[in-house]
Amino acid sequence: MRESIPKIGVYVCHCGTNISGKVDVEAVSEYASGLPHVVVAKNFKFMCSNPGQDLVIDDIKAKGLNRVVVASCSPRMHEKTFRKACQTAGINPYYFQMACIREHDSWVTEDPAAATQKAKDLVRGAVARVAHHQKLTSRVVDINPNVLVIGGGIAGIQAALDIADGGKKVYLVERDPSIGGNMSKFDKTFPTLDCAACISTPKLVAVGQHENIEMMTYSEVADVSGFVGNFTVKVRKKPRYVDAEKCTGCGVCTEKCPAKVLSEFDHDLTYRKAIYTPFPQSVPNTRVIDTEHCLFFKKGRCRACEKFCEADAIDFDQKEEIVEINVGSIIIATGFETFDPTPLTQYGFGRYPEVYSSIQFERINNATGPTSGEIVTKDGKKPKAVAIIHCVGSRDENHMKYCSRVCCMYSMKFAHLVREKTGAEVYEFYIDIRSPGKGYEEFYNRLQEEGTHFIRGKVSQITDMVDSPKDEGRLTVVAEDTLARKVRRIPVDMVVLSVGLKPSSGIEDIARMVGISVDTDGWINELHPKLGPLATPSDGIFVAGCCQGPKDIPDSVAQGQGAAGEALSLISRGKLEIEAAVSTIDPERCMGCRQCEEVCVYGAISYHPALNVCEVNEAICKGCGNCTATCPNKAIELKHFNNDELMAEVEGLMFGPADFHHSPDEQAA
Amino acid sequence: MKYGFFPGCSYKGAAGYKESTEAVSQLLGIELVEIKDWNCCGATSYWSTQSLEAYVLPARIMALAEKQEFSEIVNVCNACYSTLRKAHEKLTQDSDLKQKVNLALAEEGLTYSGNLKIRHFMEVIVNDLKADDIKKHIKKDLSGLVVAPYYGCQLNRPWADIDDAYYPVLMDRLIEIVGAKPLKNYSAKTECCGAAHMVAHKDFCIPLNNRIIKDAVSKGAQSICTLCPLCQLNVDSSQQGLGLPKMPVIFFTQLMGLAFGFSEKDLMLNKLLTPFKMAV
Repeated sequence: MRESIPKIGVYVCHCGTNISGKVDVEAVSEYASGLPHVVVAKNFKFMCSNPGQDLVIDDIKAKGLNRVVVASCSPRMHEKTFRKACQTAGINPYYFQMACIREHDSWVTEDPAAATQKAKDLVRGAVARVAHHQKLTSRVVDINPNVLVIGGGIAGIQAALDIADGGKKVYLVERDPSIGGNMSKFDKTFPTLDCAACISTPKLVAVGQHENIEMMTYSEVADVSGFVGNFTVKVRKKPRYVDAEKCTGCGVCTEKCPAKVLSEFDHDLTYRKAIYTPFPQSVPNTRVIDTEHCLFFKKGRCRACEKFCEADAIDFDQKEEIVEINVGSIIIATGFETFDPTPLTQYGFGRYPEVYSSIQFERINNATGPTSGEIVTKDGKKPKAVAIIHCVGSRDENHMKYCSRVCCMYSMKFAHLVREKTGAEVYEFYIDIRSPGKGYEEFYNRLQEEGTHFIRGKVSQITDMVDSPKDEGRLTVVAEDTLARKVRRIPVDMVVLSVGLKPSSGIEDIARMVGISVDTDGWINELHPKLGPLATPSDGIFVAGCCQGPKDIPDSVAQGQGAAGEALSLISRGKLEIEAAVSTIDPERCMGCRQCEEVCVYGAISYHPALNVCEVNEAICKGCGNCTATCPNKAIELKHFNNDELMAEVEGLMFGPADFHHSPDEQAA
Repeated sequence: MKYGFFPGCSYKGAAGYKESTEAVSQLLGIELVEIKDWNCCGATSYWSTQSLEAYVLPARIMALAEKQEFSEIVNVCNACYSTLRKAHEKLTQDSDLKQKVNLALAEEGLTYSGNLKIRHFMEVIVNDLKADDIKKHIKKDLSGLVVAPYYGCQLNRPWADIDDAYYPVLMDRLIEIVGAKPLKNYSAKTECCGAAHMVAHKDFCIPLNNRIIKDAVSKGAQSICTLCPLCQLNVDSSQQGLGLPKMPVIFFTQLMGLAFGFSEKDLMLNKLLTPFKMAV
């Protein structure tokens, strides 16, 4: 089914010597000139250059071409370039076809004769196909300038601030009662040792006060629908049982609350109340009631908070609310959580009181932590020796195979702080020291000079069995020192397990809602590991920070800013052209079996129960063809990849016109 | 309940292990049917010198068990358990090795198919019986007795599928079921006793046993409970000259027997180097 009599121009690119070094481009263009409907065939040094494009444009105008084939690199490189050239010359951009004779041919073929033959085959296929191309027009949609940021850690905060400063509205959704994330638990940060709170608290406050940021804390994303530029998001606001408008943050309620609960923020090292804020600098400073532990919710009496609240802010009747918001792009910044070392029973976490996870040790070092920043044992004694065990959970076949990237550096930061605050001996048990970053290796050197003991060896056991009576009550760390080639049994007073990073719980739900995937370790798959680190395969969905993989603070902040840039760039465009090569479902043939809906990884297909048919949302469809191949009734057509086009291409590739090239014998073979 | 039983070489010689195992299993209705014509499993040392032969020894035991129509072999020794289990795992994964081993077994008209389950008696008691079915036999109150559960190093390594490799709890549970108190936070649970090295490298092994005993003594145990004849012998025999209070080292079956009202003499508790009487 051709739209018009084809007049095809074929252009073979040398790509410097990338193609012409292997492929006889002269022979290919000569061969192409003899193919059916080919009006003109040329070869040129760089088809993507301006003179190269002009060649195409001039021929379209002068010779009345209505179809164009360029044999050059991969369409991923220059399909857009040549489509645009076609459009400039006045023909539909989809009347263009590319034959990939570089990546698929010259780069991967040793024998020049074979490479030339393959180039001819590929060109023949492209010529046969392009004759069947149909006129397609892409749609243009408006972009909603609002942005949703999921996750209020440092990456999400930075992204929100940059977008808000750019004058655009941001919804910042955080599931905890306060923004701040993991960074707000830290004391000092490596390698500069600046105080985490000093640099992050102003940012929390700025978010809270920014007129363009609508903070939605204690809230979770419940559903995402729509497509780039036009997402509709449902946010579940959990009831705080405290009226945010009335609460002054005075804290009397917390003082009077009789219920004691292990503090999540201090990682079980201290207690909080059932009405609480996670930490003193919480933003917002509005308290929240933990119904699981509140005596009123558990037993129906108490209400001490209500009695003492002068602002009358306690509201036991608050209900969960679903709020719907409309945004044009979404930034996922859900961060990480730390590995729980309990399953590593040889380290006795939870059994020996002086074995701490590194996130607990961050709290111990923090001025607002359980010991007001003093490094002391649970008995209140200054330690004489502290062991820091690297790679707990990380680089471990049984747990997380990957390196968590930050543990070496924060472990050394701990060593420095222990030395500075207590003068204790510090033993770092490591596999390899990984310190790639600005000033990081220098920090490692500094630590060595400060007298920290670095022992290369994986710790096999932490035990309260000591070898010498004078060490009674201490812990023994057992490891093979692989440099000195001996087993060490070192008595210490405290042990820090430098636990690895893993993706936040619930990340799969978020990924599923926005139609993206996570890798085998649970981190979000970015669009391209090098050239698309912040984008995802779903347009308008960006990532920042640790949700994509373990990162330190500088990298997380950089990604937050980068993702903000991506979102602002999208907003600046105002309108978005949507690829025309999408699927369409013929409602006459569709029988409503919904198999297409199941295989669509982008969530582009929806089912109409009333009509018993499925429908494609063209703005979301990526043209992958899954649905087309799956449909048992052949009701789905993928534009630009319809049966005529594909069959013509395959026939062109396989057989070709016998009078041109193949002898009848060859054909039979 | 009927199981194929592999006593191993040290079962009869160990102080009261046989007597207490028989008494306890009879009472609980567990029928341990000795595999006829069994041989030594080769223990752990044989692997290091002769690998093919080291597989044939346990394979013969398992082949005999199959021929005598058992589906499970119950062991009372950690080394036997781990040797048989290792041979079983290897032979089911490596068909070349299995072919070679079966060629050797064919001399006697035996073959090992690999359809056996290798188990330890302690685990059988805890997992196959209901706690109440054990409790109903209790005649003597042991609630004043603090027992250190010493598992040794071989029961859960490397498999760790019946219990944790470093901090197992199955025997703790058994001690609790029979009414005694398992020593909390017993850190030496899975420390090595030195096994057969005690003979050739006594100097290395004494400090190992010292840890096992010292941790139990200092945390307030009155007795150490074991599930392996060699562990029992090593820990029991290395107490001389440690300068620590003497600690009786009993088998888990003896502890159960005590709870079930058997006499110290029936259980041969008087045959221990540190007799049990001294503690209780």
